[in-house]
Amino acid sequence: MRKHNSSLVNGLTRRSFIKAAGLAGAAAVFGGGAPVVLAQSRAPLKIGALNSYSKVFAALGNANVNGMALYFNSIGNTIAGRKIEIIREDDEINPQVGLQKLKKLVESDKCDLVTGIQASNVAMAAVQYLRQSRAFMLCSGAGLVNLAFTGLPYFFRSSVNTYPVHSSMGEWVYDNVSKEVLISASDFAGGRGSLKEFKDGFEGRGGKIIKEIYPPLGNNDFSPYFADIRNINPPSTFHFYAGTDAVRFVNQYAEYGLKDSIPITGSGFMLDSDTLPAQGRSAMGIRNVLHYADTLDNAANQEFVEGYRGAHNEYPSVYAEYGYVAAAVIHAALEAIDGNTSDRDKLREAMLAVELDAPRGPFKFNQKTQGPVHNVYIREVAEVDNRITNKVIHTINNVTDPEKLPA
Amino acid sequence: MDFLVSQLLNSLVFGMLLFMMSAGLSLIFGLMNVVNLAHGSFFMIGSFTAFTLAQWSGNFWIALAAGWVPAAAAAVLMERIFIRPLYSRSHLDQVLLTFGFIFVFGDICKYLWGPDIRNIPPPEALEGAIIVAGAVLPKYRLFLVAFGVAVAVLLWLFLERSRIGAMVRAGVDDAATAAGIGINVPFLFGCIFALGAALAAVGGIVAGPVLGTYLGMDIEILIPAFIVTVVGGMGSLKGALVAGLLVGAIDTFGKAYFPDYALFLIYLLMVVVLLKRPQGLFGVVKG
Amino acid sequence: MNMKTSGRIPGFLALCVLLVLAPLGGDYLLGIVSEILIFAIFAMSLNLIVGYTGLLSFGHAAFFGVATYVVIGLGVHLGISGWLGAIAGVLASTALAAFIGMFCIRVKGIPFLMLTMAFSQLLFATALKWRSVTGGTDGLIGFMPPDFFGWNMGSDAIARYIVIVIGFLSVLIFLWYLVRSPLGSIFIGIRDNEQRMRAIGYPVQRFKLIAFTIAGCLAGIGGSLYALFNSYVSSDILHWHLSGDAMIMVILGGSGTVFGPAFGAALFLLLKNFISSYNEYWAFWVGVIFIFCVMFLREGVWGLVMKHFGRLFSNKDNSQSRNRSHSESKRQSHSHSHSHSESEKRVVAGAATGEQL
Repeated sequence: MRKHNSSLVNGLTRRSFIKAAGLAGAAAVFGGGAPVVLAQSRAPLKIGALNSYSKVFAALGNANVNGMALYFNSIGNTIAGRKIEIIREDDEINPQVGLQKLKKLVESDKCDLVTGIQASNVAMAAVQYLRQSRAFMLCSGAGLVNLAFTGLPYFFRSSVNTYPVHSSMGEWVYDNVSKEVLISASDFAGGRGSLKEFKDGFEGRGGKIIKEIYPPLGNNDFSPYFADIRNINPPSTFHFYAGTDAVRFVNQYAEYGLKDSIPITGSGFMLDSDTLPAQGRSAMGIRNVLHYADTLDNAANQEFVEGYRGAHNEYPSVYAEYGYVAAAVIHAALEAIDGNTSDRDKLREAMLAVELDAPRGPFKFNQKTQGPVHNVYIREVAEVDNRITNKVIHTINNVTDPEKLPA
Repeated sequence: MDFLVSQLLNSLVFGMLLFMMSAGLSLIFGLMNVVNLAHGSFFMIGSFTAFTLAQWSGNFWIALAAGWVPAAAAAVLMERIFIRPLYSRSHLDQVLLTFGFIFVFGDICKYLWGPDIRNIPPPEALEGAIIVAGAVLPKYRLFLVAFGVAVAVLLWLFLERSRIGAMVRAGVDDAATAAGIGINVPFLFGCIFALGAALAAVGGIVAGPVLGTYLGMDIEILIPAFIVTVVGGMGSLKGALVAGLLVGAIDTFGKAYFPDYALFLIYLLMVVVLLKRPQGLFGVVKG
Repeated sequence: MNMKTSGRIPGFLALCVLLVLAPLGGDYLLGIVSEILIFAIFAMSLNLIVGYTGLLSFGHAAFFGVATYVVIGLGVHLGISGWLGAIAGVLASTALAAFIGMFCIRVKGIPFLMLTMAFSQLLFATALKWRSVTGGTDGLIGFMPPDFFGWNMGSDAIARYIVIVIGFLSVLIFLWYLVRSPLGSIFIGIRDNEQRMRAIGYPVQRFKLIAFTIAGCLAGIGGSLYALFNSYVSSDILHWHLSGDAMIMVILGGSGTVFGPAFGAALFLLLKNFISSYNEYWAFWVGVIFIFCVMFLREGVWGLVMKHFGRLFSNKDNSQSRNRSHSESKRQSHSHSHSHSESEKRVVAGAATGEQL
């Protein structure tokens, strides 16, 4: 081996490396990201978007902000003369990080309100903080039922409460598919919670759960569980998986021939635009439940879908719709009070009064829990206009949070 | 019985993927004494590239034939510009360098393909399953096993029967002497690094229809690949194959019968091998 | 041993001033500084074995994470106070380090690296699966931080900060004296030439184990503080990702000094937070800087600072310059490759005797 001087390395000198990296770095960091604040007659409207922009929830966080941006762009990025500034922070699906970033948005960036939060563990940590800080939050992501019962006056949720969604499915499956069912989900809080919600609806009608299976989160290969299912031979099944697990589960369910023999139903979260392209034909015919479908035939949805396709060259997912509706809600509420965010109680009143035609259908807030009142759709994966997506086969109107926190 | 048969197939599938990953790692270490922590990145780059190719061409085979090229090219650049200058430094410095590349490659993939989960559709001819002894055996998985065997055979032929292969084996045994008899060792290093990356990329391509194509698959495959390489022995192709099948079997059957302990068992295997026989089952003790 | 304290006292005082001023920046800034200090402890503890004893470990997260789990676990399951939990956590990490160390030191170099990673992953797998105790990926919630002289650490950011600062300064001062002590010289000797140490008659294995155990104990201090700071733990904390992050901090800051990794921790976390506010590709930039440091700045950013500004405060002595040129010369990688690759003498440039802070 040749000896070399430590500072000259086969043409790539220390200097040239620094120069190249430095230029690229400066361009990338500052060229693309910093929001521009123009001279305005009124202070800009700062909206914090606290989501998970990295790791497994990255697509959700990005879709959320894309949806918001789409709506705000359509109204000229201004509400009541105030320019909208969205400040993104990544909670890394970690409650402590999320809490730090939330504090930054509220205390350091002085956001007028904060939206987002896809991860339920971050949401719960945030609620703790909100008790002390009186900051205003419009949650546009996490669906766990507990968030409907925080009792916080300045906490709203415009996304969804998964409890009534999944329990409606439980009831529908009992009425329309079979009286006994085998259920499975990934072994984590979201999976277990969703199955419990389904069970409440299903068993509430008198149905019987044959077995519950919980493969580990991030499982590669579901064939051992399929063998089990095949042996039991239930009249139907219901499942909840997310992300890569959803893709693998649905694909393998078809690959192993189960789809032809045992009817499968599931949560809409495992069969939406973020996973359907990867699931393809394996998902065809699976009936599922969600409060949104990109094939919904209403004016707001058409505008939303077309706009999203124009901006991002792909169909929007439910997570993008969350962002879009949150933005619409903010618009409606703030316009009603002429953009004055200094009086939280007035903002709260205005928000409670919001009623709009969202892409998902009619939307308004539950006056007691400050969560959404909207439709829930039973959908079926089908090919529509050469695209694999969901068509609605049944609509349940005016679904909202239950009266109290279920046991 | 049918359960056993389908689990056997799955263990072979996973084993073959691990073999392809580990073979590259092993060769690179055996010849260059470099532990490439960014090996999983090549796996991921191959998978994403193939996804794009499959989308453009609508054909899986084209994606397989060409999808490994960017990964191999990245490997060549990486070796030439970054690793080569460090040959005279400690091997641990080289490990650290490759570790940094995990971050770099990971974000490059995120930038080019976005955060969504992708899927390489298997070729139409291999969709569906056949039933053997009551067991459902998906055709694509059978193909994957056969493909892995083919790769193993080709690699073996390359190493045992070709001139470059002979040079590689010489270099693995004793690089100083190899250089002494006129073998262009730096060029060889570049070739082997590229070959290792290509193997990992091909692994990522054929794994696509089974595992999916997504950010984070580089980290997920890395530890199992290292376990296989350590257990089989750094520098040994035979070790990569045997250990790959072994680990694949333990993982698959472990998950089926002892789901709570399967992960634990694999790491335990690695610990035991490292303590009892650090050079692995078939590895060479370097002097 | 010639203690060049003339330059160190001002440096140390400057650090103290910065630490005292931090609370003025608001709770958010204080949170970031607290996090930096905790990871500084973690990185400095790793450097005891990487930079000062020459053992490259990728499994250090084990000792950090186990302490966190012990504190949170005892608090959530048994209602045990955070302070007692912290003591238990540090003891647990120390014992674990001694146990794992016993096995790991039997091998060297790459196998050592792999073995530390394997043990750490074993713990990770255990945490993942043993949901009843650890909560798996969901983690354990409901931990109530204890009081510190009347202030509750849960609600009072300054109380948390003070505890963490005390922890950080204690570890910093301890390490500073350790590397200058006879024990520290033995570690450095092992790093520089293990065979020679053995030939002289030192029980090298025993001392490696001591270094490993001390490092584990210090990491445990970091982990316990993290529990008090975070009030939450999940299996992520035992993933080798964290070990990797610690390694980055060590390299960024420089493995040649005690303070280097602390500086590296600050650099890493600030970069991450700063870049991620503008740009989602912070990992790319951290990777680039890291690669740069490995290739061209082996003494780390802090080492660079010390090289240029340290001269202002202290005199160069012969042993320093001798060691610097010693470590900068390149060797054939084949001759003595086995013994040289395990110890990391070329890894550390400049401060081979540990004279610098």
